[in-house]
Amino acid sequence: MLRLHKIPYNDGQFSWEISLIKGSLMKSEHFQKNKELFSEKLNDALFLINNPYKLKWSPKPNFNSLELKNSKKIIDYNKFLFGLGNKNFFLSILYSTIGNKYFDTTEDAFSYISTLEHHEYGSENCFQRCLLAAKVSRSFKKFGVIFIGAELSTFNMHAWIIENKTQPDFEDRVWINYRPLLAITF
Amino acid sequence: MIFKNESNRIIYYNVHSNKIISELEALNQASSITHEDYYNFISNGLNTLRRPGTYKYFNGLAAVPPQTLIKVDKANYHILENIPQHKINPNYSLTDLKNEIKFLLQKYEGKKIGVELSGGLDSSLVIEALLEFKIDPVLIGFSSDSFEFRTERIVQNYYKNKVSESILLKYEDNFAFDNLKETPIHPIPVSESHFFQRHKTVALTAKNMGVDILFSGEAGDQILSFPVDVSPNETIPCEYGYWCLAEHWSDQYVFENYGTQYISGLALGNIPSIILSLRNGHKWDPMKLWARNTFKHCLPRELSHFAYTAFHNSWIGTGLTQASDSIAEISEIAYAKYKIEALKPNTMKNSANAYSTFNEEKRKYFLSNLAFVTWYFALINKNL
Repeated sequence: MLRLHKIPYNDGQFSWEISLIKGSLMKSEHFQKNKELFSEKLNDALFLINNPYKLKWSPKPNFNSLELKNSKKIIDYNKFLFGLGNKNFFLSILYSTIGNKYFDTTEDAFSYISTLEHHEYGSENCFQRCLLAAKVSRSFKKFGVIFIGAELSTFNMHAWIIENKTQPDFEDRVWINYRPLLAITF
Repeated sequence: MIFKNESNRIIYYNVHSNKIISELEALNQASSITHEDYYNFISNGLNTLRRPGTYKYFNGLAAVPPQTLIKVDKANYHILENIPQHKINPNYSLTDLKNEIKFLLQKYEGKKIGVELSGGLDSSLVIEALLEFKIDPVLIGFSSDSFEFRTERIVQNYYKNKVSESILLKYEDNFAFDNLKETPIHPIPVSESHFFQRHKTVALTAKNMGVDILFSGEAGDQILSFPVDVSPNETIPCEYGYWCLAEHWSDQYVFENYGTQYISGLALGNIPSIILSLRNGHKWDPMKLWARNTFKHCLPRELSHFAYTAFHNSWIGTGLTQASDSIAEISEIAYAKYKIEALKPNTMKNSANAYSTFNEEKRKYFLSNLAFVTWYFALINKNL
């Protein structure tokens, strides 16, 4: 079941959170408290974000070749997600929960996605990249969590996945700079 | 005409007299700059002391980086090449690297050695090299309890336990752009002046701990990450000269005043050419995987089996916000003299506060203007 979990942060002066509707970063003077009791999966992922050296990590992709027809489907999914864009935040998430699974793990999915258009190293399409990986991965629903976080001093935002004690995107080495403020589980 | 700077210091060339002049003469000359000089400085960009290229004069002055050869004409000066000519040698091995480090360290025998402990890979490699030769360095670093600093903290604690003396200063007390009004007087504006206070704090700490030589991990990004494709026996490109790799301005204008030498350990002697030779043919390696793998036998697991790219946006962004009032004050002096729109105190203050939202080009433009007003304030402050 799709769930969005708020992880508000109070810096002593302001509260920071991500809007569930727009996915935008919100800053307020009202003290926000997390009222939700997180699942074991989410708590484990948050522990690893706080202790990133405990994560497993591979700097190289697991190369995957897909049958042409499946490859075309993933390219179509990718195009559709970019068509929706960041402005259709919730619809994009909803779209990522449905469809066929083509990869055993999200790590495999990222390896393949990195070869697609708009996903070259350093691209800023982290949100679409994560949603696409979650959409086509068999393991994501059971083990994965998408996080959306922010670098509070610049308001820059980033999305990444933690799955089964790994950060499965071999190319993403910037995620540790962002404080997680929202988690998405399927 | 060609001029050589064989010293280890920045020296100044004067196009009007066509000779090298003293630093004091350069300072005196700089105090009478015109609008054209301001625009020359802005078009030169921020890296005249650390990047090869062709640059315009600043009131007839050129800063000649250490150990370089420059060609001068009436309109421009060109930084042509490094004086020490190191070559790519496919036969280099890790033993050669170790021998080179041993050779270089002989120069510092009897001196008390320290290392800037950042908690990242590059300074860790410097520490490991010293430990390998039974040198117990004093470690000086900045640390924070903040979430963003959680990885560096682990590495800093690891190394603190491996040496006899170490000190971690509070990161939040030493943001970039702190105390710009105290920036030391210097003949030509430079971006390094933005970080003067941080270096001053380290220099004072080093002095108090009796450190003669302080190594930094500067240069790691270039020699461990940049793509290398140089033919065997060819000289390494100019951008791998010590002057491009190291923070020599901070050494000359900040550390020297406190009796400590500030040296980039990884950029010394033949080290860059040996490492580049070992990496030759490698593509861009932003995660420094070659280094993490090659030196995994001595590095902590946190560095050999993990990689990340640390941002310093908070250090810069918060620093600018905190310094915005003093930036306005400093700008007022330069604006009163030159009436250049970009230097208006309010414009500068607003830019400091909005810096995080700027694109790369706009950031560079603002930082150039900030270097200019800081330089002018230091000059006026010393009544020159």
